[in-house]
Amino acid sequence: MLPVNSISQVRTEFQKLFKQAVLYNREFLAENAKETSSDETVSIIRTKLLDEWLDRAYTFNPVWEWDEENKLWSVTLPEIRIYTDAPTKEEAAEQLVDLTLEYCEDYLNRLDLFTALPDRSGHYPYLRRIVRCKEAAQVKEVLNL
Amino acid sequence: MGVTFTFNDIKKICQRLGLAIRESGSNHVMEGTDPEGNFLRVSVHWKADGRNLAKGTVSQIAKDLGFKDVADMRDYLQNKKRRR
Repeated sequence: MLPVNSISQVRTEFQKLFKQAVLYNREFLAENAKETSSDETVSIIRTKLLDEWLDRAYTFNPVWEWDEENKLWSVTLPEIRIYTDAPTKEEAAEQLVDLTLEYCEDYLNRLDLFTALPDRSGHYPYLRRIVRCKEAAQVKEVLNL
Repeated sequence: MGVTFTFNDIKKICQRLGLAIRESGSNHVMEGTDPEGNFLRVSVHWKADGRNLAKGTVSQIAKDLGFKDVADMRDYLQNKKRRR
């Protein structure tokens, strides 16, 4: 069983919990004792650990397709429904990065809207991986382009 | 010859579906709620403006806009009286 702490416990013991999470990969749950109507908790977890899990579980598998008639490469990320096309693969990859970054920003700005949509709520862990990237080259790598 | 679509064709379809079109960085984003109450969102890179779109892209757009397939979306574009 994961230990459940009240918010006030977390407040007073945060330094200790933080240390245990970082050193021993322990996860802690915090609950709001005043909100008895819901059994919602919040996790305190080592960010590196979360990143590792997401990297392993939420990989991007871009789908490339050559359109002979229009002489264009199209590339799709089925995981987040982002796609584009261009005369070269390199250009298409760059455009895909632009589109992904824009979607990521929009998604996080309107998290309440997107996470309420059944066909888009599952995009969050994928976009969480993108938002951790510091530059476009890293995004390209995460997208497996 | 297959069925080709330009970015302008997609814009026209989105407008008929009642989606709003906005610029966002390097992209055109078309989104909104269609007459059936579904939230739709399509984004196209500005470099696609004024040229044909690749078949792979068009087929994804048709899916995102709730059409059966590309031919269905073409029929919607050509038949102005048609509802989706």
